[in-house]
Amino acid sequence: MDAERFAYENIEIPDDRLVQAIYAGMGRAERIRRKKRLSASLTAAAAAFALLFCSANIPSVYAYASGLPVVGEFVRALHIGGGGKTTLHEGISVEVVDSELIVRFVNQGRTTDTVVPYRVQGHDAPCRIDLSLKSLTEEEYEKLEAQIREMKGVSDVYRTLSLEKDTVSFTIVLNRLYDYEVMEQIFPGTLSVRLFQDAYYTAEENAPEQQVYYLRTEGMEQDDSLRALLEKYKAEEPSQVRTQEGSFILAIGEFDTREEAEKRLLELQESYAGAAELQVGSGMAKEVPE
Amino acid sequence: MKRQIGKHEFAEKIMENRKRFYCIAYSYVKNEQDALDIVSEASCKGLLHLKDLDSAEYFVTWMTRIIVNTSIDFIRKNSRLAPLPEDSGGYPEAAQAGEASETGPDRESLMDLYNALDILEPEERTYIVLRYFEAYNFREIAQMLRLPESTVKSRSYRALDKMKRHMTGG
Repeated sequence: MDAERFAYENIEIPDDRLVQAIYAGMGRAERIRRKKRLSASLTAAAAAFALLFCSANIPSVYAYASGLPVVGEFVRALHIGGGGKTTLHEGISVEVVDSELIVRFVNQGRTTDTVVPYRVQGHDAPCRIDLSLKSLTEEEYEKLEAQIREMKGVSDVYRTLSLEKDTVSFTIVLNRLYDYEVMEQIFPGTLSVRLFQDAYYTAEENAPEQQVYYLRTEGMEQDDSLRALLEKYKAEEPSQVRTQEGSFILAIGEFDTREEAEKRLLELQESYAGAAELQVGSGMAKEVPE
Repeated sequence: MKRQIGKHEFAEKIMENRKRFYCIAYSYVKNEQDALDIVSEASCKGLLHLKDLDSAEYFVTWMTRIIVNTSIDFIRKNSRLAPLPEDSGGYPEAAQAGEASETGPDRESLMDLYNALDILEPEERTYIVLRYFEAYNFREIAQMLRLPESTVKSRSYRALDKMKRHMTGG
């Protein structure tokens, strides 16, 4: 018996967790990389990290190859329709285990094979996750929101405007700078959002107290003028943030320095005829903007 | 011919070799969670520095070096020695290994060798793990660690000698 076989046969390998650990590592790398090259073409997604498993437990090599495991592109793919094509369901099942949210959809008494189309985007300041789910009823959203509030690490949940029909958009505000992972499984369709402790911080990531700069509007009501701005800056993937006063601002991009933010503002002013609504703002992970 | 890999191929290759990488990390820390953390951190580092990989054919050795360095860093940072697997967590009991006579004495020797790794400094473990558990030859290890082959040989023999003395009570 050779040493190599010995090692392989005698070390118990927690394969599911090993796969998760690798994906988490690659997710962090993408996050670090993205921070270093934040630009107009990229979303300011902070820590989104998504997987598509073809089977729940033993992802095939095919799944790794085709499932676009590396974050950036996959997250962008999700933006044009994560989840299955069908939105037909008659109920929703929501489960919270510690800091993990698990959502399934039910139709004709059984869990659907795929989840409804969804989008996800993360931000560092304030630390939050924007989620949009298609064809969710008000009742289902309320059930979901109630469960999300039970998640460890969540400090607030609020609805945001959606430009798409039949889509419910909302923001989950986290009470510290978390990494998170969005995992989609099929057969049965399961969508899970998991928050990671800061054990995953590395020296190159934003520390919780680090100032993050972004472009923002003044606080507004959730009305047609906010909707008009959402439409106007749609290409910049704006995020809606609830302020301390309860109004909403549009936030675009996240930058490590004020200079980078100002440079981006100048570019937008050229592209959007002055972009008078925007100014540079800043904040930290736990800081709700004024 | 040089052929660099992209991040998707990186993901594919790291998945293909994940168990091997885990075993190497485990050899250093003898703890499941720590080994997972090491592989996770190494995956992050590997992806961040993918452009440093000269050619796809060196992926495994290149990534092994990252795993090794991350393992050593991990032990240093945590300032503690990996626990001796007294309860053999994750491993068959020594007695059980001994009973498996059809596998021959090699199995026992390997088990002893594996357990004796714990007496080595993290850097010293590298030579034993790569040479005897990953079956790399000295030339490959030298390339991987960017050391002269003669240095690798002498350090490997020194580490082996240290283990031998420990195992024979010398």
